[in-house]
Amino acid sequence: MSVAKRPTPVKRKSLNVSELSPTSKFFVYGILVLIALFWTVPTLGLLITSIRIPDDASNSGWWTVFTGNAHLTLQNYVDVLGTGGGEASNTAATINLNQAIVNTIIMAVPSTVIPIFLAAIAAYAFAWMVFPGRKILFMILVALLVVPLQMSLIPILRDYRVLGLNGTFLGVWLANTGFGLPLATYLLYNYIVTLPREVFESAVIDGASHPVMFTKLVVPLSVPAFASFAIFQFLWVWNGVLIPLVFLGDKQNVTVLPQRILQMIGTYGANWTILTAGAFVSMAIPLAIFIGFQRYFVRGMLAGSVKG
Amino acid sequence: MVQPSSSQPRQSTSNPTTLAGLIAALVVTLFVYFQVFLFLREGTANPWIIFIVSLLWGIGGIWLLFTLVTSIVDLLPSKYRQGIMPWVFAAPAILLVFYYLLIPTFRTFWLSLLDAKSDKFVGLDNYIFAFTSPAMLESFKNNLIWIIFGGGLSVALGLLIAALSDRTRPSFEVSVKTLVFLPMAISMVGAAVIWKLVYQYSPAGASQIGLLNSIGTTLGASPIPFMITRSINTYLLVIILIWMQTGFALVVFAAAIKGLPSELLEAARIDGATELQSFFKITIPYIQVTIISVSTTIVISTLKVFDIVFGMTGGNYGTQVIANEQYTQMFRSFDYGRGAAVAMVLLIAVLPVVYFNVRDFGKEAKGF
Amino acid sequence: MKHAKIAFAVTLVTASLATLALAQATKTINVLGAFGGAEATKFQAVIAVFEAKNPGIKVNYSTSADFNTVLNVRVQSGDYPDIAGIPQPGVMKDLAAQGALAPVAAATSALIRKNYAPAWADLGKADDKKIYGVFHRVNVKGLVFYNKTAFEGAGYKVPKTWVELQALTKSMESSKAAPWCVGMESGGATGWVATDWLENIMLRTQTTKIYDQWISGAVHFNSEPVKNAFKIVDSIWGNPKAVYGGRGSIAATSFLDSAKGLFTSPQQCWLHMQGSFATDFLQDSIKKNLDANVGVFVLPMINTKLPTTLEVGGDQWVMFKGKNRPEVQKFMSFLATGASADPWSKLGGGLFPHKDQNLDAYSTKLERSFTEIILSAKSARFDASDAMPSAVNQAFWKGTTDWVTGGGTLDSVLNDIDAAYKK
Repeated sequence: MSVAKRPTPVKRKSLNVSELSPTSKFFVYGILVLIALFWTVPTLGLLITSIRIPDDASNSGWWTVFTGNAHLTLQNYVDVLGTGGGEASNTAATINLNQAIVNTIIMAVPSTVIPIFLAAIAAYAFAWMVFPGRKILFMILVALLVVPLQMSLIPILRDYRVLGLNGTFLGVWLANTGFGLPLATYLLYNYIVTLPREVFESAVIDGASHPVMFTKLVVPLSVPAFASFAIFQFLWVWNGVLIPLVFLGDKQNVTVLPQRILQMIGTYGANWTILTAGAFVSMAIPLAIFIGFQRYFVRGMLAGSVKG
Repeated sequence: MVQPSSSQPRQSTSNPTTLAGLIAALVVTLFVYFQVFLFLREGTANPWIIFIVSLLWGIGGIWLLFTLVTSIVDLLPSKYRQGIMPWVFAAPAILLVFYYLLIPTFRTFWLSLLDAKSDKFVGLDNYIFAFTSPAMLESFKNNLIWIIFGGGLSVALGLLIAALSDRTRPSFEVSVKTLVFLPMAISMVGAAVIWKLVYQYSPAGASQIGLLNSIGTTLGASPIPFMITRSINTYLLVIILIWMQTGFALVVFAAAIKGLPSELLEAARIDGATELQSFFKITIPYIQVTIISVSTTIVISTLKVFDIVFGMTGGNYGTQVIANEQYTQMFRSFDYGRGAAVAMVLLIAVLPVVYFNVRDFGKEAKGF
Repeated sequence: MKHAKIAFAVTLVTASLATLALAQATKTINVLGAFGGAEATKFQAVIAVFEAKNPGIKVNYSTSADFNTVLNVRVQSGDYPDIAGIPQPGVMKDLAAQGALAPVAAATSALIRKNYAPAWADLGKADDKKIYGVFHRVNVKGLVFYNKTAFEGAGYKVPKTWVELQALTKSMESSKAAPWCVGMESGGATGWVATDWLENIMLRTQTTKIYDQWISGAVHFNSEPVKNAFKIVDSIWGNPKAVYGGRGSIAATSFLDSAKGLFTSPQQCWLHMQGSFATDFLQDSIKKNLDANVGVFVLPMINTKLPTTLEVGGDQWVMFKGKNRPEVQKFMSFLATGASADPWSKLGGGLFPHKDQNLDAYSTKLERSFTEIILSAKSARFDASDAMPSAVNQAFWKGTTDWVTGGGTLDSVLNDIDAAYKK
């Protein structure tokens, strides 16, 4: 199968950098450093608060650790990870940390992959296939992006009880898929629709069918779009509290990570040091995935320019 | 319109044996699929076994079903094939979305016509509330601020950072992108703590735990109770959204800019275009669709904004937004009628955005 | 050979024991509550005592971040837990009216009559006069906390009457610290500190009859008794010298931080009014020795002709419809006995209303004294805002918050709250 060649932007980046004049280089780097700084300072506050003792955290600003007010401790992490003594750790320890992480992964991975696959084929249909109701169905899909999740929970939980899906991972995957599909389909549609028409035309002339065009053309060309949507869906699912709470219920063997952290907070709330340490623990895995996915964001498109 | 199969003689004659074989395979697959469904529903096995089975079932299984069904449809006579094939692609997503979102929306609409306990039909009473109550009028004003200020800046900043970082060393680019992306990975609870540490107020004379007031008092200003100061508090909450969402815009824009063919830029450069000119004349038009889709997504999330307001001010001090009012009516006041009507208002509010998105839909005869 | 035989025998015994254990299937009770963290740990200790007494029954306690939403969604979809701990009597009555709850068994209600003051049994009743709720951990509100060392060092005396309290705070205005620390910021729940203040003033100026009518809506918010309570609160909150940071800082300060002001250096204030749970918010160093550091008195009566009436609050445990299995009833009965109080009172951080509890179990004199206050109270009333219909409670929170931050005049705020009753 031969396909019209897409422009292959090989090594464009290095070329550009060398062409920036020293002044513009200074401005580009300067602006970005400023922005990065602005974005990072609040997070830095979180990180530092997570290693302070509670009395300090409520008494003085986190930046005072740089001016000598440093009683730093890892106890908050010990509490969150539930491996040591301390009042709060006992509660957490009843929900094993490893189990919670495993549960979150079991919940999050299929909840990410299934919607992407279903959204990709649907987006392809909306973009490159002709069928009655195409426009109105797409309109409904976009409009449903705005439906508040809470409105759906009650009728679905009712059905789940009848179907026996309540409290199972299966139910959560399907729910996350259903709730994530409008955005996934919408974003992937907008990507797939911009693929050059010539690519498809020549494939059609060669006698390729839709399934073939989808697997051989669209999928390889869409890797960066899949990768970026995957990371977002993963994050939403990973940090989501409401859906697992409602559909997985309260059994301890299915408790997920954010739930476990929230359970460490008493009635009157705000235990800042525990919360901040918890936030960092639950951030670690999505962040690692994002950094791991970097190369797909960068190279996906270049690798995508397939030929026959 | 080109028909993919019209030029392909091999497929126009379907092979009955292959067809029968595929259908048999499909039946077996469906049976196994259902058995695995029952196994997963049971959910009593070792979590890792569940995990592996679930991946095989959820991903491999769906792929297998898709392949089998498309193969069967491919063998059908062309007139059936053209009618059925699009549905094989689109139906799974459409059915799931209908079940999880559309049907509940009809139920919401019905509830919005009933009273607080859903006992009595009250007509449009709840909608009168949704369009006239002071809390809702305040919400409309605030949501507009969220859309314009929050949506606009998230998109603009995302685009700016994507365009600039594209021109830097790869290691630097990755670092900037990671740092801006970082807040997306932080749970809402964590983010609320972070920003309390920024906006926190203590009376003059006490040590300031909040970053802004600490800087302010060091410079000699008197501390400001930011969250309860009505003229600025909504804008300060919007900054939290920008901080959390720009990473999304950035990642999507960066991917789009990477797809920009270098020939286009080089041609512009040879024509003597400046960096700025080629950004506005080439980059922006090239990624226009991406800009629209990112803007749409962000506008919708500003319409739905809830967590930030709920966690920081609870909608007090003039910061109420539609989604928080909906939550309050439904889960605090237990007034289902009003809660549902407010949810429907959100749906109405998003219609202009929907229209903007489908305006050009199918104008040029796309599709095969 | 001998080893093999022993091994075989051991295997056989183990296997048969395992079979026996399996045959005696464990019964599980699922309990849903609003508290987590250290409080949940302490409740686990209560559960452990129950499980030790009742082998074969396992109690799963779980909490949820968004208790209101989760409980509501689960009830609406018929997915009931076995037992839930509900903080608001108003919500309990709603659930009972919907038919979602099962009244307690006869054995449990007998225990309630025996072990509780009649007021607690009444608070557990829904509109149909049946008892649904069992109170376990409770709290008492309207307590004024002070820094013992500093207070006594400055030569202040605990006021016995409202007039004495006014004189005391007046003299404090010219001291190194403000008389009061008040903070009401509580995220999505902001408002409850203000309503607690108003309710306590109501109980100190009006008869319990008026208070009850206020809850039921017969006495409007925009009426003399309630307006008067707002004015008394305003005479303190609105006086820039009386509150640390002045009125403007009240809504900007977290209720968690305001309690700490008694022990900061420099000291911010002399007095802090809050529920018995405020000891949880104090600095860790202070918490280590509460008895030595913290002094407490009950806010004195304003209308001295009235008998002292305390404001109390607490979660009540309810059973759901169709879930009143024998083991669930057993656990409810257990919660109604003093034996369920002691494991927690030993660990601190909880007060219990059971007459048959062991007062010596309390880990601090302070908490023991709170409990004695609760047990000896001739008259007590529940937190009014929590007992009002949910929509009114919500409007009450929002209204007082608006009032404190200048978002509305007293009259407009009161009329808004009254409007919530009409729904």
